Amino acid sequence: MRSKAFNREGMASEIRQISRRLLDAGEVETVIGYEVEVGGCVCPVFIDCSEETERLIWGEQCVHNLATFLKKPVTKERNKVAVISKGCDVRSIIALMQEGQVVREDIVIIGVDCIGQRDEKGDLLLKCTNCRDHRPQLHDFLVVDAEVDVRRFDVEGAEYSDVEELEEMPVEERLGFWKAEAEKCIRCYACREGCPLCYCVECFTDQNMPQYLPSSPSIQGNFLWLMMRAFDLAGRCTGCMECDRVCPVNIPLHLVNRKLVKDVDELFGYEAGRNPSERPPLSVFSEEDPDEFIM
Amino acid sequence: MGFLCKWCSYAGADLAGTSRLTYPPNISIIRVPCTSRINSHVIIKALATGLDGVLVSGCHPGSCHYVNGNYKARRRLLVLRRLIEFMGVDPRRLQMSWVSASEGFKWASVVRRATEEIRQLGPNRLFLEGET
Repeated sequence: MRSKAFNREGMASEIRQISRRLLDAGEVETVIGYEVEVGGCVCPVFIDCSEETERLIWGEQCVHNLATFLKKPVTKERNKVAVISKGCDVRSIIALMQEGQVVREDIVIIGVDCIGQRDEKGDLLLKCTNCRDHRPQLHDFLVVDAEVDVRRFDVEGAEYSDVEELEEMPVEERLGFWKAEAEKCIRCYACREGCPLCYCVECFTDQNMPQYLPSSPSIQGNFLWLMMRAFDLAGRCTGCMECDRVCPVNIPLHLVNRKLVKDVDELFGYEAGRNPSERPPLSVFSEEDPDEFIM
Repeated sequence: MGFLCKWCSYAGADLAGTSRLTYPPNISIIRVPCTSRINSHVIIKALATGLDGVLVSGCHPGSCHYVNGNYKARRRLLVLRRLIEFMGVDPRRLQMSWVSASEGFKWASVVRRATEEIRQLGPNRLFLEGET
């Protein structure tokens, strides 16, 4: 359903109106959206009744990827939910659909045009600087932003200069870089909880018979965690950078994720979260895959 | 450390043994049902906990007992090699080979080559004592 274009405040009231209608008609049990908390910062909110829809907002600090909540038991026990999604969030939802974690009929996507989100300091987020998803590609409702104009959709390919910078370092220096980052990790697993695609019921790091990874922080264990977590997202990561944002010790997790996104694009020409009927590249194969490294 | 698929490479290594071929003894072999059955975490863990190298060996393309397991393993290792390189581990420490059940000679030469290459890299010193 297309509606007319709005300014920022108009968009918020349009979101409220759509949510009210859905909740009143009993079409959804819950709307997952954004609200302003007491302290003034924006945070996710579950709205269960139409009187509360006034709390919903839209603005430049709606950074959270609400698709993350679709994997949580609290959402799964609800029959049907509506989720307010930016273009990048919709890609996570598509990735979840590809893997059978979300059934399209069970969710209502309220797509919202987004011209970029900003952090507390007002700087544009890294993932937004090269965004190609100002308008969600999949949606049931679309809230149109008057500021999104068509020219902004064709940005040139993804930007990897920081990844390439690291790639050019000698191997030992890179190891030093990652060891220094691993040393900071406190193993809070916020990266796992924030990631929309880390949905295992029991994470490998929680398995203790036998102990899979050392569970207390240590450089080696943290290094293993960083690497294994990243590899599990190879070919699946849609680049929402939630892991990076939620990390309390600011480990640049996006570097390793984007490295894999880049490799998967180079090797298999695949971009995660685009086509719901496509299979993730590491679960399929091609007879033409490169094999020059094989003896 | 060698991970060998039980249908081809493990039988190939067995043939090398029964043919009394000599090859470097510093590989310890783990038999797996298929190369695609190897959890990549295990390879990562082997390398990060100080093993000098990992060799994964399976059936030639097209002859996998499970039809296409080796193709999937190839794709996974392709990405994994790039990841370990990015994280600071020399990708030559992760080797892959196709060895069929009748290729005892090839197995011996693969192990010789892999051992030689890894020996040149020196011992794996990712983490020093006290960092673990």
